[in-house]
Amino acid sequence: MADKLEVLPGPGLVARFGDVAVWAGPQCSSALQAHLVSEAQKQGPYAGDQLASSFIAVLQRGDPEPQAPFAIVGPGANGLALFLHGPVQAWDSGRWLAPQPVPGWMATSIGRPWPLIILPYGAAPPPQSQQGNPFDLVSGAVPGSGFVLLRPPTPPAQASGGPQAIGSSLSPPGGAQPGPGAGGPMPFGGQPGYGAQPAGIGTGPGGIGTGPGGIGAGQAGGTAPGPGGPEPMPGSAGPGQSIRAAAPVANAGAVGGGAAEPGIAGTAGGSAPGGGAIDLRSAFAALQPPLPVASKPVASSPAAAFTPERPEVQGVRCELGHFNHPRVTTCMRCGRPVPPGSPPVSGPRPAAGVLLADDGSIWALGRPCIIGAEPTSAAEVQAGAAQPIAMRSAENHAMAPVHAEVQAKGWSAYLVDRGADGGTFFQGHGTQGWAQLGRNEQRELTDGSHISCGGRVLTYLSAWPA
Amino acid sequence: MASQVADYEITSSVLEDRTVPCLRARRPQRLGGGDAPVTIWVLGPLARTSWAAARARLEPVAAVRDEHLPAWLEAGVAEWAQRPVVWVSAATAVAGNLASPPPGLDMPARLRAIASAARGAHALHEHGQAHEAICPQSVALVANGSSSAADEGPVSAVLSPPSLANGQAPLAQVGYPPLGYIDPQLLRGEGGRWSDIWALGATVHQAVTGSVPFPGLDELPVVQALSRLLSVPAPTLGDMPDPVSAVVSECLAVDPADRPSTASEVAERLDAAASKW
Repeated sequence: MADKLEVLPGPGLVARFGDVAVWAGPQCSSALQAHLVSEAQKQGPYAGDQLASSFIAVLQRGDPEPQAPFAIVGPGANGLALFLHGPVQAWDSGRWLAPQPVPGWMATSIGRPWPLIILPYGAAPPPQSQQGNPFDLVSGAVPGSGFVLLRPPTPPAQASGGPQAIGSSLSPPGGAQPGPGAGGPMPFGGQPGYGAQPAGIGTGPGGIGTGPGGIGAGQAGGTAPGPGGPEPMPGSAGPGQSIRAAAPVANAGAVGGGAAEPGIAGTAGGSAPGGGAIDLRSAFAALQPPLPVASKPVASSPAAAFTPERPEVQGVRCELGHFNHPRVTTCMRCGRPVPPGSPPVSGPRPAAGVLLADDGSIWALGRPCIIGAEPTSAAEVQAGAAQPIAMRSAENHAMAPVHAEVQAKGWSAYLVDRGADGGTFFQGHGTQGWAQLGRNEQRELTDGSHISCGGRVLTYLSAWPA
Repeated sequence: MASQVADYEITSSVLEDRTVPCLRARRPQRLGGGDAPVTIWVLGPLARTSWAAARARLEPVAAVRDEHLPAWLEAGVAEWAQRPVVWVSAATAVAGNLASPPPGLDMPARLRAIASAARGAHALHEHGQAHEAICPQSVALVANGSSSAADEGPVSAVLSPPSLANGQAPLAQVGYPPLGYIDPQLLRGEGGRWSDIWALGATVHQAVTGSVPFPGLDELPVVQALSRLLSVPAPTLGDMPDPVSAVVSECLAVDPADRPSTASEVAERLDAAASKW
């Protein structure tokens, strides 16, 4: 086993046995975690492929734990086999991979895995590897919120572009391998940063070609871009290298402010931002339609121009047809009167109000909000049906990954406990003391009422008169 | 002030702003492009778990290339004031912004600067993006190309980083944008092109009258200020001279349908107002 596996601290489980590594998120059942650890101990030249196939066979009969994030990495016939399930993501040194849609599952082979990063979906990339990082897993199972698979440093004289024995390490078969003497666990220290490569590395089958200079083009001991960070660009690190293949080259053709920016230049030998960064010079996005222009309501769908996707509620219309809460006398959109005795009509529900967090952030309640330390792990957020409010717990408090929810029903907003151990608390406007919600209990929020999760406080402000 | 953001060496602060620091830095050698200074905006603080959302917000914005937007370089997460923040760098050399304009910047120049920002907003709108943080801070005055350009006075303007809001992040974070520049419709979850147009009107209102359209809003506690915005949708406009009063009052119309249709239209009317000032 030659590669270095850095375990990232946090909830979950990381296991490694020989050439196979797995990560299981905290949402996995104990049985699934045990199964993954057991499966990871199965070795073979194509152990990664075989494990993926066995899981796919199970999933084709039905997914018993669709929200359980886990990842399996092991040698395969076409490189390094990678199997992702649930809300998990992997950085393969060129892109983030995740099941689509999330959650779901995916199986693929990657040819250029260093660094290979496994993280919960939506989690921030870890900082660059540090020398002497103590979280190097050689064999066994330990707690961890993910892992980073690093290529061990290879003396340039030993580097070879030739094929290697399949299954000799977590490296892809045929890819560059460490030379003699580097086959065992690497000693701590002397580890280059993510992506740092010595010169003269060969290419693995199916991988993205690398010429002289190698991936990251870093000098030994230097640092290369962190996960998600700017990549060495064409022309800087040798022929044949194309790392951000999905992005257009540089900003050729850019106009105006972009035009002053030169083409993306070489990065050889440089150090990149710590903590992760993205290169915006070659940013591209799928073509999106222009934002709509505001228009007057039409009789058939008074507020459809603004809130087409929201559930319908009963309300009243102002003189111009704007849809309002049944209690208002003045339109909240145009300020014109709502005729007394207006008959109730159906319309899409506007936002219920805003949440003001104790850090000054303001959240419109256009959709349900999931509050927690990792709200992106909630299925509703992944499905786009809710917005995440990520908050860190206050000192001496605990914030669950998915702690509480604020949702609208009719014209009212409700606080819902999501079963967090730390408890969800409610304090009505003008009242003293906090009331703890029972597990999964919900409580209607009134204007000015407070929510407390993990020692943090949010205030609800209604968009409508009491 | 920290001396470094990621591996950018900070050389000076363009604007000592407690909410969105705007910094001048040396261009890291790894980026190539010579030694022209770059600008860094520190957005945040942001929980690290929100980085994916910030990235999803920033990349489509950076993909919109327009002369009225900065020439974006990179974005990332770094420690700033002992908190994780999102930072954005741009090759555009910013000399200041309308929150504290240079003394020599007369009103026509200010209106033209806001018109430039409006054109930047229009470019975003045409690509399906709303800025959602237009305010005097985000009207970035651009120097004339060299590191000493700040002394030469600003010559143009661009619209600086957007709010990280896109449904995956808060509407406002610790005062960016200040509450007085947030369209009440945006607070109701009904933002869009018209909310940026509202904010452009509020920015002009501030430039001309010295205050936001809701008098006294800045002095209120945040909870009360928000309640007021939610319950009193109609702004109170200050006295403004003819060239701008019409466009400002239209931009700040309670009903989005009564506002100018596009930010480009606002820009044209501001340029016209500047020429008549």
